[in-house]
Amino acid sequence: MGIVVDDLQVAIGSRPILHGVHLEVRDGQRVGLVGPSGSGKSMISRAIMGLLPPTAGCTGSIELNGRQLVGLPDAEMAALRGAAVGMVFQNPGTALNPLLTVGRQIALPLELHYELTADEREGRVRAMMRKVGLPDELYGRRPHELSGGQQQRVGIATALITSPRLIIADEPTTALDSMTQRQIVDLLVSLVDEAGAALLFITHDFSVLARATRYCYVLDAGRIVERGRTEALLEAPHTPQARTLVEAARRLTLHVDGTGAQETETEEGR
Amino acid sequence: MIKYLARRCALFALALFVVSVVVFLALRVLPGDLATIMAGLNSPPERVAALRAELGLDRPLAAQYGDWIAGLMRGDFGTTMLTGQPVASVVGARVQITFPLIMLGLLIALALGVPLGCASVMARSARARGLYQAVAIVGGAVPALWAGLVLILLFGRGSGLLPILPASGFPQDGWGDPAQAALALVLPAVTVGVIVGASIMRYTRSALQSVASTGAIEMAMACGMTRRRALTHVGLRLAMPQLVSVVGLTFAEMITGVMVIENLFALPGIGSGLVDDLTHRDLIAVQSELFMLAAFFLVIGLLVDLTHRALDPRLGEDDE
Repeated sequence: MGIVVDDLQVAIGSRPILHGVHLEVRDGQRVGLVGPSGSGKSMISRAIMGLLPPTAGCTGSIELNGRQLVGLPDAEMAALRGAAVGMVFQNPGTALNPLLTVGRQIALPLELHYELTADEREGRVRAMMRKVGLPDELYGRRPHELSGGQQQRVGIATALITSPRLIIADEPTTALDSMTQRQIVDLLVSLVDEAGAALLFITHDFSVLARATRYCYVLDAGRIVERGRTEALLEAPHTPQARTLVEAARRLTLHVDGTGAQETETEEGR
Repeated sequence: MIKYLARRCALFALALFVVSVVVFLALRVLPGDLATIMAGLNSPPERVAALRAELGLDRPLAAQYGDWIAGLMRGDFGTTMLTGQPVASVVGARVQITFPLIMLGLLIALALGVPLGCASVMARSARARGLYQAVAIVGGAVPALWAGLVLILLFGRGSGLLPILPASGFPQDGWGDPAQAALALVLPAVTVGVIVGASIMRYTRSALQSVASTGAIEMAMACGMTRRRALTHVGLRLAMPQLVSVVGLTFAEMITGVMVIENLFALPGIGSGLVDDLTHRDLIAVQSELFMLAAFFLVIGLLVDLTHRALDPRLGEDDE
């Protein structure tokens, strides 16, 4: 069980974005999807979540736990979203509803999918806030009163509150500074593992991917160009597209411990 | 919030003062002597002099301004030349026509524009989206005069359902017979409503799309809402401040904007009244009327700002 995407084609209007993508995330696996911006990564996550814009056309197959999602009516997709699949967004500062308090935001999937009393809901939300490291007093605050890292913790708590079997994280750390990035990735990984859920981690940054996943796919211009163990790919990328991404990660970030840091120093020394 | 309210009201008073000075000076600094214009260009000099003395135009500007403002404070807006009635009561009678017309028109516009705007964002097929687009463009491009005429021909003359022919127009005794008066407003309000509704539709659409582009709608959907529910529950609520601004501006604009409609349907409202006074060169009345209009615009601006405060928790943290 898990998610199996096969021969996925997505076009916006007459412009094709994805050309027959295949990828799988099995139960309990953490899988990465890496590619440069504009390669179509986000279209894959949106296709899985049923969040493609109305102008998009989508063919192929997306099976979630054996159930075909392509062509499913929005009402049935909505029943899965936030229950069977949770999603963490790239920019929590704008994705979080500015009118909802932290407590009500995290409680939203519970409200939409489960019949709980207000007390039960609040208990679960406060427990989840502790898990993601949000201080209890933030319960009644609104997003604009939080730091970027805290906002993304709210995003993670919202995605995980219903214990979905699959989490899709679409560039969850891109909007954050590098210290916070590392904390958020580690938090996400530990919570996903603790819940025994599967994770599809989407990023353009190989160095973040190395922390989060064991296996990954490389997407370029709407096609999967390479796949394999993340470590192996990092050490010896086969395709030029993957090589470019790996080199960019080595050059630009400090996340790859050891070699990455040295590379950065030599880069600055030039 | 109280600090903000005080500051905003002080700003309102300041703007009102500036407006009064501008309106006052505009009529006196503009080329042409006020008394000569009002008396008529061919009238004898004695008549002009008499009028000048009567209206106090021979006194220093500051004294004239002081008199005018002191009058406004007492609720005395001057008298019209034509009939000698107080400006306040003449304007009051016009407001009784224009205000219900605008309110009814705006209600129709909102009832048409907001659902259509939502629907055009929700539309799935390219054909439906094109259709909504066409409705918005055509509705916005229809000239008020033409739309009004078509409606008159259809319902007034054609079926005779509504007594709107300019000959009957608005009842002479105003709201003496409320049913008759309200009936006279139906067609003009529909004409205004359809045209304004098209622009409300476009504003609703673009406001919703700007909210959607922030990711808040996707987030709500990811939590388990359908697209429709996310748009109507989260999107519309987040677009509310933008819509309130638009409705406020539209409302203010309509006061003079419905002039054509008022003329067409023989409704003696504010817009057509202002034109009447201008053509009769009743400039003292015009001065007070312009001031009242400007004051009304400012009140709407104030209400819009206060509503924004109430709708968006992100505003207002700076003075708490």
